[in-house]
Amino acid sequence: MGRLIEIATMQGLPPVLDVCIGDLLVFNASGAHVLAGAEAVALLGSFMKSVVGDSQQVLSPAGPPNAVVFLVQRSGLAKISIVTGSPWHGTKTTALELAITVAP
Amino acid sequence: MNDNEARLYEALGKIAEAANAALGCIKDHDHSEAGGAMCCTPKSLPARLHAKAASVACHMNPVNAPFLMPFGQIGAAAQVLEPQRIAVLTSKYWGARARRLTVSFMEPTPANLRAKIISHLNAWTRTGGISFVETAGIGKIRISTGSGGYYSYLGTDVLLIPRNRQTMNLEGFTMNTPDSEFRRVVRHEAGHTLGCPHEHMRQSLVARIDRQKAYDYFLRTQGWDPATVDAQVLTSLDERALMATPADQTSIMCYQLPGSITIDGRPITGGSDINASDYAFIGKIYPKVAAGLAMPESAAMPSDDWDESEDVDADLDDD
Repeated sequence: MGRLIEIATMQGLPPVLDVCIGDLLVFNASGAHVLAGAEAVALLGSFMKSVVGDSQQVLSPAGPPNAVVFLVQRSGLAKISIVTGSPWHGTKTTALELAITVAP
Repeated sequence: MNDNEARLYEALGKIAEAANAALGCIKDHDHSEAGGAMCCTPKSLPARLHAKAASVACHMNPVNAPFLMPFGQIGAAAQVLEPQRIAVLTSKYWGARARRLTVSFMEPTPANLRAKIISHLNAWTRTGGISFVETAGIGKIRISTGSGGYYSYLGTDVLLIPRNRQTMNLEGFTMNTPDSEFRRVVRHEAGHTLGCPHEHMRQSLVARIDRQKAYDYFLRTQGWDPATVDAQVLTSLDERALMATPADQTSIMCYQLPGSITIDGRPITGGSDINASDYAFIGKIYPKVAAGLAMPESAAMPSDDWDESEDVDADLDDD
């Protein structure tokens, strides 16, 4: 069964993160790239976290995307970069390697 | 009595009407003083002048525009907006009455940081009638300094956000954050809480951006697909949904965009603090009024009428 792995901050992450096929990775970030291993991991996109308000409508705040989502698809190695900070005033890019195995 | 004297007399009369209405004195106007204090009753215009009155009202103060948008017969008249700055989404507008919005924090936050953030939220009160005050309970405005970037829900939307969720995010703000960031970010997010959208999404600013260059730039720097770029940068706001002004690229609500993505090569400079036009605009749509003088909800007013040949054209020019 795939796992939804929420990663709030890039601080404290190991240089290589062990994940499994079917995992969904959600980073608190404004953007991201797949640097290597595009067949192993797919960048689903950048999203704005939203809520269902008391009006029963989906409400989104004003601001840049604050979540990027990857789907782990095949075993192997992949390298991704995560963009945090403000897209308009200064960002920080952090690279992360993923070691992908089949779920036990 | 010359024209200026007549206009002054009319203005004084209107001030008297507003004051008397605020004091709850609703009686038919009676010039005689028999039976007590003189009171005045506001009157409404004849129906044939409603559209014209709406046009004048919008011209004089853009805050009048959202109340007139539903009236289809007004049409283009309601879109006549005086050149000024920034905008407020009409559907997120708090209303013209002064109000205080309570503020709380989602995580344990040092008292000096809480005070500093709130003081910057209240920067808008230099001219605006909406203020922010800390509460020990759960505030209408709930701020997190955790991860999630910088954002705020727009205007009255904050009232619909589940109480266990923040309405504003100021990731990483501490007492070590430069004062310039408090001015640039906290005041910007407070603008969203007041209902202001992003100024760089105004039609005239979006028109300056080279679409393909924007796609290439944000793909390279952010990994954004074209749809995300469209949503963040290239889709202009519906000007009919705004109380607004010509776009102002130095507004606190305007992001900075590089010249490498604009058609003319000049950057959209973006704002780093509330500017004079921002203050002026907020002062108009959220006026500061003295306590006790806020207008009560309007009741049905008696109508007056005169021969159509006596109708006049409003003098819309500034003195």
